[in-house]
Amino acid sequence: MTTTNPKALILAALAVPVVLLYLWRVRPRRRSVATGFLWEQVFAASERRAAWWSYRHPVSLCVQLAVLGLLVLALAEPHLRPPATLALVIDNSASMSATDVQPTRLDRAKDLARGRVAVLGRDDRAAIVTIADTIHVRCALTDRLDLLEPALAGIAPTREGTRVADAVELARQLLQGEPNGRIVVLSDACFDGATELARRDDVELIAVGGLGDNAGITRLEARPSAADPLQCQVLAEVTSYASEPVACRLELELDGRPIDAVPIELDSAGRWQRVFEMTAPEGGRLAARLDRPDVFLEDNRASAGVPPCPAYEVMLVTEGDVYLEEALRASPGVRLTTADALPQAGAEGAILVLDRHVPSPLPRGPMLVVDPADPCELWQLGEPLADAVVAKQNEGLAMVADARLEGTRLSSAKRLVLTEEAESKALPIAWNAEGAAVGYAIDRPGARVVVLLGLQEGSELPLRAALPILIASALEWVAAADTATASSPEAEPLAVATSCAAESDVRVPAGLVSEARGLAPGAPGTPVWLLLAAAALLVVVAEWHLFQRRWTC
Amino acid sequence: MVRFDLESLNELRCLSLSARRAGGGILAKPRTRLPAGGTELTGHRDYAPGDDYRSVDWNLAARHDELLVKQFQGEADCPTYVLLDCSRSMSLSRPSKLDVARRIVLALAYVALADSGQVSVLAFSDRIVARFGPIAQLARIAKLARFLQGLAARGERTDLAAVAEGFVRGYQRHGLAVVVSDLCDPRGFQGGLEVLRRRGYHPRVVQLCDPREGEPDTLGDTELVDVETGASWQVTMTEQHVARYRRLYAQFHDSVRSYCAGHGIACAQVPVDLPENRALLVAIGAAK
Repeated sequence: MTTTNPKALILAALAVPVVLLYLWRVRPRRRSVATGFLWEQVFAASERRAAWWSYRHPVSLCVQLAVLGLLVLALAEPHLRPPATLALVIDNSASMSATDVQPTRLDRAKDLARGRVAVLGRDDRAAIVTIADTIHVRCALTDRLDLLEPALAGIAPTREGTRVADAVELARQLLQGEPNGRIVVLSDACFDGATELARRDDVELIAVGGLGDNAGITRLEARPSAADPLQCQVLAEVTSYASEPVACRLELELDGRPIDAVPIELDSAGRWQRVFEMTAPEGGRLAARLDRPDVFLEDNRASAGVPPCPAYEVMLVTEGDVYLEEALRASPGVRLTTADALPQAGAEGAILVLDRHVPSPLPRGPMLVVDPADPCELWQLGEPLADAVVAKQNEGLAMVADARLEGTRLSSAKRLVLTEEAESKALPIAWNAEGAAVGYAIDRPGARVVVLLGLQEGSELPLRAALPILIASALEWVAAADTATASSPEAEPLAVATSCAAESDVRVPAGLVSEARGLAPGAPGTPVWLLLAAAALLVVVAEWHLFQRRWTC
Repeated sequence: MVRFDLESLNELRCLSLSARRAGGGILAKPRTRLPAGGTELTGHRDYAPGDDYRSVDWNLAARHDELLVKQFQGEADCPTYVLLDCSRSMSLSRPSKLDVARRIVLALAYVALADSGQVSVLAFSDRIVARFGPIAQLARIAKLARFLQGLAARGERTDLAAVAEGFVRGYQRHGLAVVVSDLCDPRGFQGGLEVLRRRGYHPRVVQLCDPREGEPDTLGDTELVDVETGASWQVTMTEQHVARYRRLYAQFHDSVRSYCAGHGIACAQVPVDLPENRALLVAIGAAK
C-alpha cells in the first residue's frame, strides 16, 4: 500500500500528547458527602459491570489512539496500489486479421485491452494507441471509461504493416512525467524485433495468436511490355509460411474475366514466382486469388491495376513525308491528324510533329521536330553534317533504350547549334563519328521537344524497325511532361492484399507471453481516505457511547 | 457566626410571641398524667409495689380496707433539653447546617426560657461532646450564644442511639428533648428517638437539610467521600445513579416525617437555604 500524501503521517506524533493526557488524566472529582449511607445503597444496587469495565481507561486510550491512527491514515490518502498510467498500444496491422484466434487476433487484443481498462482504479489513467503503417492516438490519457471503451470498439483492422518502434516511442512520450507509467503492447509480434521488445523492462508485450500456417500472395505487379506496348507483363509471387508443403491454385482475372489459373506446389517456407504475358491495350483491374483457406485470408487476394496503352493526339504538319506519317500511324495509341501547315490555333491538346518547317517562336506544348530547316529560339542551323552515320547513341536516355540506332545511315542534315538556353536543357540522342549530335531531347519547362535529324530521303532509319520504336518512345517522352496529351486512365497503385508482404508471416514467435499479466484491480470508486474517515467517526461514536456518554458538568 | 445583638434579641422576642401564638410550637409542653403532684385529682388506682406511700389515699383505705393510690393531672415542670448535632456532616453545605443549627438552638432556648422553662444544651456527634446549662433565666442567653459560637463540627460519625443512651443516663429528669440534627446516622435515626421515647422523654426533631444534597450535579468519574466515616466510592456517576440517589434521599426525608407522625413526635424539616427568620419560624413550628 502506498500513500499520496505521506507527509501527513507525521501527524501520528499527536499520539504523544494523547498518551500524556492519558497518563496525566483528570483525577476523579472528589466530593464530600454527608449522606454516605444513602450512596452506599445506590452503588450496592448498581448493575454488575462487564469484566472489561475494570480496564475501561486503557481501552479508551487504545480506542482514542485508533481514532487518531485512522484519521492520520485518511489524511495520508493511502492506495491499495500506486496509481497506474497505462499506454495500451494495439496492433491493428494486416496480420491481426488472422483467425487462428477467434474471432480474430485483433478482437482478442481488444478484449484483453478491455480487461485492462475494466480494472482501472479511480486514480488510474490509460491511453490507447494503434499501430499500423500509420500510428493513431485513439484516446489520450484519461480515466474516463466512457471515452476509453468507445475508442477500443472503434479500432478496425487495416491492410498495413507494423511500426512498433515508432508506436512505443510515441507511447513513451505520452507517459512522460506520469507516475508509474507502463506501456502495454498487444500484438501478434509478427514484426522484426519482437523478441527483443519482449525482453525490455519498460514495455510489456502481450502476444496474441499462435503458429498460424499461412500461404499468401506476396507480390502482384503489372506493367506494359517494353517490346510491345499493347502487351502487359504480370509478376505474381506466392510465399508459404507454413510448416508443411502447400498445394494450391492461383487464379487470375482481368476485370472479372478469368485469364489464367495455375497450380502451385510449395515446400515448407517456399516461394513461387512467375511472369505472365497478357494483352490488355485498354488496361483494367487484375485480380489474383489463392484457393487455399488458411488462418489469414487477407493475403489470399491481391489486385493490381493494369495501365492501359497510352493514347496520344498527334498533329503532323508535313508536306508529304509518307515514311514519317506511316511511322506515326504505326505507333500504338496514336490518333494522327495531318496538315500541310500549322493551324492558326496551334495544336491544342496534341503533340505537334513538325516536318522540316519550324515556326519561330516555337509553339507551346510538346513537339517532335524532324529535320528542322528553320532556326528558332532553341537552335540555329549550322553547316551540313559531313558524316551522317550514327556512331553512338545515348545509352543513358530511356527514349532510345529499346531502339538500336548505331550504324544507321541518316540523310544529310544540317547541324543544330543549340542556344545557350536550350543547351542546358538538352540531351543528345545519338552522335555521329565526329561527335555531332544527330538528335536532341530538349526538356523545356512544361513542353518537351525532341529533334531528329537525317530522316529525309536517303536515310536508312525509315526502313528500320528502330524508327517506330524511336517515334513511339519520343512521343511517350514528350508526352510525359504533359498530362493533357497523355490521356492514360487514372493510374491505380500496384497493390497486393497488404501493403507489406511481411504481414503474411503470421507466425507468432515462440516464447512470448501469450496472455496478459493481470493488472491488480484499482481502488474502488469510494476513496480509501473517506472509508477511513468514516471508520474513525464510527469509532469516535462508539467511544463516546461507551466512555464519554453523559459526561456533563 | 451566632449573632447576638439588640436586633437579634428583638427577633427572638418576636419568635417567642409567634411560638406562643402557635401554642408553643415544637416546644409545646405535653399534658401528662402524673401519679403525684399537680393540682387536680383525677382518680385512683390500685397500689402497686414501689408506689410512694404519700400518694396512698389513706381515707379510702380505712373505709374500704384496700390500698388505692391517688392520681393527679396538671402541667408539670418540664425542662427542655436541646441536643445539637455537631458531627462533621453538619459542616457541609453553604451556609453550613451547623451555623443554621446554632441559630435555631439559640431561638429555641430563648422561647423556652421566655416560657419560664429550664434549658440545657448538649452538643453531640458520636457521643455528647459539650454541655451547657441548665439555665432558667433569659439573662444567661448571651452565655449560651457564646457557648454555641465555640462549637465546631468534629467527631467520627453520628450515632444518635449512643448519644441518646448517654443522655438519658446523665439526665434523669424527663422533659422535652429537641434533637437539632441532619439525622445522617448510618445506623438510622430511629434508634436514638426510640431511646428517648421509651425513657419517658418527649422527643422533638428539627431536621436540617440542604436541598443541594438531594440534587447531586456530578456525572462521570467521581470520588465520593463520606465526611464522617471517610468511606469513599470511586465511581463513574451516571444519570441512573443520580436518579436512584434522589429517590433514596426523598425516601429518607419521608421516613423522618412518617416516623415522627406515627409516634407523635413534632418534626420540623428546615432547609438551610431559607432566609434566617423564616428558617427559625419553621424550626420552632410557627410556620411550615
